[in-house]
Amino acid sequence: MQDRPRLTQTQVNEELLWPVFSFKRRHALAFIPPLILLMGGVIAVTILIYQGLWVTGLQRPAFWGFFIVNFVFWIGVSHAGTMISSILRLTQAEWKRPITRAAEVMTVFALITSLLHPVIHAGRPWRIIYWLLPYDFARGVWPDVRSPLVWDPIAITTYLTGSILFVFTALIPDFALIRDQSTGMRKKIYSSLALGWRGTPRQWKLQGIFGILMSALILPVFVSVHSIVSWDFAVSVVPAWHVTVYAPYFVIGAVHSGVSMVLTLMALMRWIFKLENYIWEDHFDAVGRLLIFIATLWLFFFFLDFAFSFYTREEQELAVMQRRLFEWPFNAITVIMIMTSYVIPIPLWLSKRVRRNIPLMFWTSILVNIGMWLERYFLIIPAIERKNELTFLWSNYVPSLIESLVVLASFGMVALLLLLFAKVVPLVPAWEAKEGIVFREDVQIGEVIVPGIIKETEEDKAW
Amino acid sequence: MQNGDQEAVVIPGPPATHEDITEELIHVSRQTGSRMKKAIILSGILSLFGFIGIAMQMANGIDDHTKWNFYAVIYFYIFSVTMGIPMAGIGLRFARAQWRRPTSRSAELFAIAGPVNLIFFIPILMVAPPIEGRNSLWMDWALAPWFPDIIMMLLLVLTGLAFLYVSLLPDFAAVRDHGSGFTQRLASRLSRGWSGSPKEWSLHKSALGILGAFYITAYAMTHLVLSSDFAMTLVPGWKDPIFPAFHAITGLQMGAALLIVTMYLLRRLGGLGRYFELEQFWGYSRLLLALSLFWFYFWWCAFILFWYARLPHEQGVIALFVSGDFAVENILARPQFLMFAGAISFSFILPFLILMWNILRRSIVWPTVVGLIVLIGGFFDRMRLYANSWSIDQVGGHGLDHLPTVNAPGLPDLLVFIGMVSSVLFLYLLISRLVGFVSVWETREALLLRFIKPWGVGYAHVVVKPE
Repeated sequence: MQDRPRLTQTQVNEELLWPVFSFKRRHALAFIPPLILLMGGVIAVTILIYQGLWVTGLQRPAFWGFFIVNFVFWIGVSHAGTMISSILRLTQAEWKRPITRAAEVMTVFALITSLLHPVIHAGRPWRIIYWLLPYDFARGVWPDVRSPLVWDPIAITTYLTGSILFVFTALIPDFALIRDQSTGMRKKIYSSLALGWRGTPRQWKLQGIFGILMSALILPVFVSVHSIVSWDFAVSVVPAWHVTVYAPYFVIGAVHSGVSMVLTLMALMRWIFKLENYIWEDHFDAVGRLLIFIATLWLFFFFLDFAFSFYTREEQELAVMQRRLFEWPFNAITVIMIMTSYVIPIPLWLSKRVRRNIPLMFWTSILVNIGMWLERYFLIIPAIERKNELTFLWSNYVPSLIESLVVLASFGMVALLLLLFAKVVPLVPAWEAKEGIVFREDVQIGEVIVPGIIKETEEDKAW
Repeated sequence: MQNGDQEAVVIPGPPATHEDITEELIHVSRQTGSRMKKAIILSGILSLFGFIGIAMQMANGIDDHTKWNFYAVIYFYIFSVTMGIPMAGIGLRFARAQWRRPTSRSAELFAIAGPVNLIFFIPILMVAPPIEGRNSLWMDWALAPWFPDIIMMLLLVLTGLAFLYVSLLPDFAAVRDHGSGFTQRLASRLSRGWSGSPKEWSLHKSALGILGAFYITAYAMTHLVLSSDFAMTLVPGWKDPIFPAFHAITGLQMGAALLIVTMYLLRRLGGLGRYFELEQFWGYSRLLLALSLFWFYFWWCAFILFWYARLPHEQGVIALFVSGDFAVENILARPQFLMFAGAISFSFILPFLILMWNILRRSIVWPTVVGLIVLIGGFFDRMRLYANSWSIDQVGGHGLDHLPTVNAPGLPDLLVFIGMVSSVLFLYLLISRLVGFVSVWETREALLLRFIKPWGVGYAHVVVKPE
């Protein structure tokens, strides 16, 4: 972090708040691709609701397909927010400052997007209500609280609530900043949102304490959400799904895809919103190093799942592995998955020069997310295609255009929500950027000046 | 900087200059007083008990592995603890946690236990039943499980020793330059002409990185093969892909626990209080809390699947490792349940209930107490896993037909335990006479990278980030 300009507070305000107060061409053009994708998805869902689920590729016994794969994928991406903001906050990693808000907001939008998928997947979404609320709507049949399908919405809505609280609290100082720079109706709206923030020492202290407490509290939720999603599959007796390693495997896969998505987002933010003074090569370097560790852990859990598939040499499980490894299209999917999730990006990321090359990091992070989407497909579909003992009950799931359009629309929806959010608040927290400047200390060691960070002493920490 | 500990002895502040460090770590802390001499001699003598125990056990026969159940418990317990401690040091080095610097050497020195683990592994290989007719990772490969297990153990031990040696190089040079007598001559040979040039330091850093990564990989893979070949495969119907990860993470938990206890002893008995301060105990207590939570999480991931699916063979696994025989009405009369209760209480419940409070985490005594608790819990856990699995004489099958009777430990097992622990202690204390318990080069580096400066109306720590 040598030779970084020391920005003034005015400069920080101008450079971070311009998307809120103006609408430059690059920002406007960025809306077009996600809008197109989203429109395609809306049309697809309309057709699906009008015509019924027969327009999808779902058929006995593969009743879970693209929608559930995408649901799991977006739940996974949502883990990035907690990873970056909570865990890195608790470990006092300075480099998280410019990316926490984008990661946290991506969490919220990813969760909302993922929640839509079971609703669409139901075919008749209005009937979901019978299953979600604890009430015996029809013939005395209650929702089965022993089912992980009921634990899912409880965990996800808890995580969503916690994430929204987390995002909102961190937004308050920036709401106040915008309030102070606004007039008219905008000033009134941001005054309400700022909740009377004045930036007093006590308010900052409470904000810091809340951040730390929330970080610690949301961690078990973060682990439990994707563990519960994994148990949708693992507690069943479907061969190749009934695997004890699924919970940590899913969680670490979620972190892998989520943090890679944050990498993609960092590169796009830097380009669209001209954030070169805030998102540096050092940040890509730090995220890259984190991803090497996470990806290697993911590979270990993948290896455990893979190796133990052959452990008992049960026929049904071997049939699933046969489908995954040797039958089209899963043989290609498996190869692409391994190559894009680990074999291509990780060796590249071992090089510091690559980690500091933003275009390379952008493209490799996209590769990872392609691989991690395929990984969910690899885990879910072959097992359900082969879940019956009798081979004449096997099927080959082929996704339809409608399902593909919905999947693409999900990416459009998250991107659109992020772009709209950037119009409301700065994606890089202004207060974090200013705090980072204050806590930066350049230290001379011998002939070299190296960056340092000021940390609070133990006596300062009242908690 | 004073710690908040209520002790009669006043612990001075950390060393302020490189000369202080040299004096204290090379001259003072390496002095072998009478207490240290007695400890080394006693542990050396007690090490022999291990071999006597093995001989007595072998005299009982090596065909029936059920009689060696507690040998397996003791071996895998000590293996897990001693090979897990270097992991704690290496992991924190990768995470660039500056507070771990004074503790790195104490952690890495435990790699010296590798040869002990290798020697005491031999009876395990001789006695463990063959994998024919059992589920295994090796698909009836003729050389399995012995060949891959020996290779993995050798890899782990040699990588640990290599890492230790590379880490020690600058300190060997420091002893060569400032020490005297036999240790100075020995250190001179071992330092291989180290001169501290920039190129040497750069290579040193790269080597530590590569060897550290290898150690982590070898650690995970060794736990995978050992836990599946010497526990999982012995239990019909037990297929549990998360078990190797559970085995590895609990080893790391026990390693962190022993490191905290070691730090406390070095602080109290070794006069190294200015290096093992509140910050180090606080840091490791947070790590221990996280690992205790992982203990529960990994255990629960397996349990919920087995419990929920109600498959008969998995119900047998629950009975073996958790609940005991349901036919026995009094739950306290079920040995399997008692072992499980001890494991979960001491490995998770008590550590969590204590360390969840920051005021207790941020102390010196309480993390040490929890460290001792975790070490007890770890023993219960290894007993739960190995005493039960090694008591099964059934070969193959879809599930357990009946719960085995667990043979109680005998005198040979006690001798083996004393012998293994003493062997590790003996080697640890011996090597500490050459290089000390605290790394000289790391402490000197810390002086450059961390300092306190006036800031505003008070003071602030400045941590330099040269990366």
